[in-house]
Amino acid sequence: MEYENKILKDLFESIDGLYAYTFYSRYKIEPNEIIKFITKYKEKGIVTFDDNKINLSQEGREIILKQQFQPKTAGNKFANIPKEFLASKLKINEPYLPNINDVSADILVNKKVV
Amino acid sequence: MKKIKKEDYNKITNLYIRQNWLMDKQDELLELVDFCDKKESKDLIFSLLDRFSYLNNGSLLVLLDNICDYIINSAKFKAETTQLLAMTYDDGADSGQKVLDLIKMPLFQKEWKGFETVNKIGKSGKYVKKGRTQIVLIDEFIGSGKTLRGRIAYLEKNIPDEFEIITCFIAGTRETVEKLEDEGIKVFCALQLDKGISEYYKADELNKAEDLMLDLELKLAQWINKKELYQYSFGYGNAEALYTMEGCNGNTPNSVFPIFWWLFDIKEKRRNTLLTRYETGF
Repeated sequence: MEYENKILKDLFESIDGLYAYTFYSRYKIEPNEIIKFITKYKEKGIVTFDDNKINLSQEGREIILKQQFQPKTAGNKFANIPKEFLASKLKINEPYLPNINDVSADILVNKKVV
Repeated sequence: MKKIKKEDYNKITNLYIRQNWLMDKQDELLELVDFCDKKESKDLIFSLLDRFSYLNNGSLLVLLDNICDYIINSAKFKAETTQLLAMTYDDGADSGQKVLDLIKMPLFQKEWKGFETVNKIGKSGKYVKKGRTQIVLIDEFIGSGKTLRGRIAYLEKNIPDEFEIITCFIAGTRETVEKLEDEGIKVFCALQLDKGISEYYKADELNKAEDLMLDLELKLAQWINKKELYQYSFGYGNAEALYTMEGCNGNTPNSVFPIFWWLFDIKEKRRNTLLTRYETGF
């Protein structure tokens, strides 16, 4: 399922479809897996497969536009916090001392309080 | 795993669309593709596989049904005077007995009841004496026809009483069926196949394809124990068969090109073959 979403996303972003082999180059998707994908989505009328090229049908493009194939993010609202904002958890009442090198220079400038 | 070339990848995916049984044998297929040094050899293998008949349970039932229809409606045999006889000669289990067992049910379902089943050729005479004078000789595959001719000669020599005989097969080579009919043998072969190379390619292409297959066979072990590859070159009796009942637990016939089932290569290395043949002595 994970690779199916990747393929659908790539196809959606492509202008004129993609060769089946492209997905082997990008994600190591083996021939039997790509054919399972093609068979499944061809039956649903979502993709076409001609001359080794997979293309989204008009219907398939519309479905993806409606976000029916958007990958679902696992976990809660904290699951997608960018890495740079993550740090080890503070204990209760533990003082917090930021690393001065990581703090933005703008914050450190003395500003007159009006 | 070795990287798959773009050209091979495209050919394999296109092959899978028509022959989806191969999807479960990807490692074996990739090994076979890799076994071919030349592009032309690969093309030959892809072409042969593209035309392959790989029976599954559904298709087998249709073919069995066709055989039943031939016995009951075309040959008009009577159940109470009929013996269904496997082509089996010795004590070993074989595909003739398998088909004999498989055909009982569809015949019975058609309300054709009272026939006798006989699982060895040598026992047939006993049943002819008991009034089972209509013999349906049964096997899975007819390749060169050599075995069938031998069995009919055996029956004619060893059964003094009068009997009538028809022969039925799940599959076989069209050329052999036509030859046997010309010889006056009544043959019903439910799935008739063209020879994989000699009845597909013409003129220069034919010579080239034969040379390519011979080159591939030269890369196989020439002997496995007491079995010589030469005997099975292009399939036993040069049958060039592209067929197996493996999809319904059958044994691949020796009439099939050995490149698909011969167990060792020239360096005595065990091959991960696409098809499996149980061969006595392997």
